[in-house]
Amino acid sequence: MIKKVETKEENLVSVQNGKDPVIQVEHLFKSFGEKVVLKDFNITVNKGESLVVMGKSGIGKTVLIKCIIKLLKPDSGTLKVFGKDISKLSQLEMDQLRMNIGFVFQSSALYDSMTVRENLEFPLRRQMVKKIKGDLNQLVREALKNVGLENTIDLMPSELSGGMRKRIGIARSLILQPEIVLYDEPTTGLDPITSKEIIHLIMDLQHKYHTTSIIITHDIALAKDASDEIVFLIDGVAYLQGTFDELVTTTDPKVKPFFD
Amino acid sequence: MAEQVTKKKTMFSKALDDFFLSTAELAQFTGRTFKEAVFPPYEFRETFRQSYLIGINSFPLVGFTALVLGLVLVLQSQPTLVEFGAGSYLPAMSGISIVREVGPLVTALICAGKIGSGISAELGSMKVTEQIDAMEVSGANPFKYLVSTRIMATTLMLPILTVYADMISLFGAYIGANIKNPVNFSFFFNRIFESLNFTDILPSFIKTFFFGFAIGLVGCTKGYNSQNGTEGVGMAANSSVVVSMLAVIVIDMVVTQISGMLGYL
Repeated sequence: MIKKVETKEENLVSVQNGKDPVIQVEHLFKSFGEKVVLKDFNITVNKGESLVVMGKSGIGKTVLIKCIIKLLKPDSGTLKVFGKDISKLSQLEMDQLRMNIGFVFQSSALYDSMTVRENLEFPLRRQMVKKIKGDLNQLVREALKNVGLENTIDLMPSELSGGMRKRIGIARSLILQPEIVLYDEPTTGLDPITSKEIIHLIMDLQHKYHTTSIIITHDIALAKDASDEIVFLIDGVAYLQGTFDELVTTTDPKVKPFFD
Repeated sequence: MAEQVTKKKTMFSKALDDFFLSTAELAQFTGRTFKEAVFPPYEFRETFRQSYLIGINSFPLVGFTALVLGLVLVLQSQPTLVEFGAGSYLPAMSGISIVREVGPLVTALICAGKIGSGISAELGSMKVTEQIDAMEVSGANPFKYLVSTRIMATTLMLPILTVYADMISLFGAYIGANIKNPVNFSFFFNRIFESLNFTDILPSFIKTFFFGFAIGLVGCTKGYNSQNGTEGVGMAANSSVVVSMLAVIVIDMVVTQISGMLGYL
């Protein structure tokens, strides 16, 4: 059922109430100078679920997921991941928590000076080197196999196409087998065919690893296929939420244009 | 009129603000660099890789410049020395000038342009393309991995590059001295080493560590803190060259003064 947020109390979006919450964002405020991006934003995402966040460009969608992984510090509000308030975690504790969170950047953010193999080995070496000594090569090859790019292992990022870079970015974020994956516009800038491939890849990996996801996107096809629920971020708040089928028929003047 | 005064005041106060902010940034980076370098985990592999890249990539340019400088120094000073009947002092004069001042300073200025701008542009573009964020998300400490390693690499490599530049430059001086009259190789270099002593070599060697530290620090600070996309990367690289060259000259002046006070001049 579509839920329109009218009051602060109602501005609490839970994908499916009563389940095991993995990400809880409560009364989040974030501004850059004079510009208030998020004001009293609330969402809860439960284990194994996939939440798509949609909204106009520059509205604060990326800011939201960067706050969740503590790349940005919120002005106020509470952010809990696996029940832990991330503002109270030490750097070491946050690094340990990040082992369980994958982040797919809009620009892929592959390290230009490293080969594909070194890009994928980097998080492994940082996080798991003691645990998995000797198995690095096997893990890298498996991650590349998951995204169908085994033959790119010794290439440099500059030798890859946009779609390939996205795939490698996804492989890198999933190599530690995180429980949560945050996708920042994974299909932006790709042609429709490659977009479709990326969408299928995301869905396959979600089914394979049973990850909890937040996907930031403008892509209706991705929202349709990969979402359990969609939240519209408008004017800094979770303005409207519901399933794709519910939202596609909405008459709300602020949301309808997205589906038209 | 009042508007103009206010505008000038605003520009002045902005320039002052920028200066103090830059100084504070550099101080903060210096403190954090020492902290990250001292406490584990250590990034030996990356420090070694950066040292190798900085050294190997700079050898040809530093070598060529040093050779030409040594040669030109002799060609320009030879006629004057001969005119005053001091032609036999040519090896000593070129040796002392090169080892004490020309070698370290020119190497540092070339590295400020080449290495400083390279570090700044690299870190700046890594920031713009979210690669630094990606490192942080991977649980790495990007400051330790990117900044501390580069500063340590420049600090370690500048003295090595300077020694190399000194040798090449002295050889250039020998070639220059041979252009007009043939000079015996061992005679020329014996005269150079006879004229050099410990007080010539030590201060000039020590200051190269400071040059290297300053070049790495400024390059990393400007790159790591660059803003406003690709335009910001260009500005950071440009600013890095200007500030690090200035820093090298100021350090040179300070070290010379201190050396004088300690009786090393």
